[in-house]
Amino acid sequence: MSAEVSDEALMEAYVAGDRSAFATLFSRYAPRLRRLMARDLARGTDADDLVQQTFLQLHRARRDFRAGARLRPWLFTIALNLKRQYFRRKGRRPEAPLPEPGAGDLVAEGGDPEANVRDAQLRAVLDELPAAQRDVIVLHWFEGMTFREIAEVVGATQAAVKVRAHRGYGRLREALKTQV
Amino acid sequence: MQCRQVHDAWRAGEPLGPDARAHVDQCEVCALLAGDDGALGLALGNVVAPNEAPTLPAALQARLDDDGLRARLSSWPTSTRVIATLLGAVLVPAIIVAVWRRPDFGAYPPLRMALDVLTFVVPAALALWLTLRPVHRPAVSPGVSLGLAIVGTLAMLSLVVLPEAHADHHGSLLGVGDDFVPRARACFVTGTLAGLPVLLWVRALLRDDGPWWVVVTTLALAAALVGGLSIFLHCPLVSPRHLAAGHATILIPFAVLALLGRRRGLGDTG
Repeated sequence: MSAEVSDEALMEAYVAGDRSAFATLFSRYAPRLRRLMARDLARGTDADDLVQQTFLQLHRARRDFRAGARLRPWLFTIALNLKRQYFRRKGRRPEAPLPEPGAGDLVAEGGDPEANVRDAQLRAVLDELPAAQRDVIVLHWFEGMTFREIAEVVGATQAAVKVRAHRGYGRLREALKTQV
Repeated sequence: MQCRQVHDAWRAGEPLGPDARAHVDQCEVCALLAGDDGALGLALGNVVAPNEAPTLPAALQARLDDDGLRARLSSWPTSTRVIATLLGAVLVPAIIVAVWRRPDFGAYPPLRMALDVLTFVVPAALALWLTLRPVHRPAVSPGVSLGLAIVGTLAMLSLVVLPEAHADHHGSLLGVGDDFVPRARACFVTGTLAGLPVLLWVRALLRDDGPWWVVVTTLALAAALVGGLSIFLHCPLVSPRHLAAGHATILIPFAVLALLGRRRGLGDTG
């Protein structure tokens, strides 16, 4: 299955019985979902487990997927719901992530040491944002979702999502200013 | 023009075109990113995702390959699971109405009968809806489930404290004196047994995708309400003492099952 095939076409192929389509979806989204999970989890194994749970639930819900629907909001809704359930079950709040070199966190492009330090600091500020703001920024900036899609994923109104994005980006901007 | 296209231009380090600038002018969030000559947008543009391409873990693959009965039932589309659940929930009460209906059916005030039936049906339907809600839909607050559990319990108990529906049928006046305990026990056992198939059937249809304590609570509540409805449609006794001891107590075994289920967890996400 080539990388150009859309997520939706892959999902439809999987529902029709093409098992390799699911593996392609996994390789496409597992790193992104792991990042989403790892930001709030101290243990990498918990993040990996939640990613696998997400794909297991995607598999179980595959016949709910309708032609014309977009897969990505679907997948991220499952992931965020499972993450929330994880914290409710554990009876605790999101944790500060432990540094895990090479564990799939965001990386900075280029070799400019000064820029790399700045980007690392920016990522650290992003990690420190409240989960509600950080999830919105990850979905908006890194996943390229519209506010409508994000509202659908997080189960909030578009206005609320925009407020979270505004506050989160605002804090990042302030952090950037203090670094400069 | 959407935010993403503006972000892509920042990621590529390209200057914003007229369309992108027009978008930034009307989007508060992108305007924030564009402030200070786009410093934040440019900085975030440098932070990209790595090009990993992991393979499916063997443990996950094994679960995907599970082709057992439960795996097949739970992978039915939600619309099919909802219809199957409704059929399962209606089956026992329908059989009772058809062949084992309460003998005072004609004497029971129709409006009161309708209200009493709705007292069971409405919370049961809501509980089943919450139980089957798929995980790809935005989550419902756990407070809603807790509220529903309280409302459903109070609904069953409300029939105990309401005035007796009628006294126009000799069968409705039984169950007193030495007859109290045997009749109450019979109703308790019958109602519990009537609710159990619903619990087992819906359990088989679950994907283990919801917050597990919400699922066990709503599922147990729905089963108790179906059991309560079934015995209500069969038993003609209207005495509050009998309704308390024989009907409302049906909640107890299902509450115990919910607690046991809560302790053990229902499955993957539990």
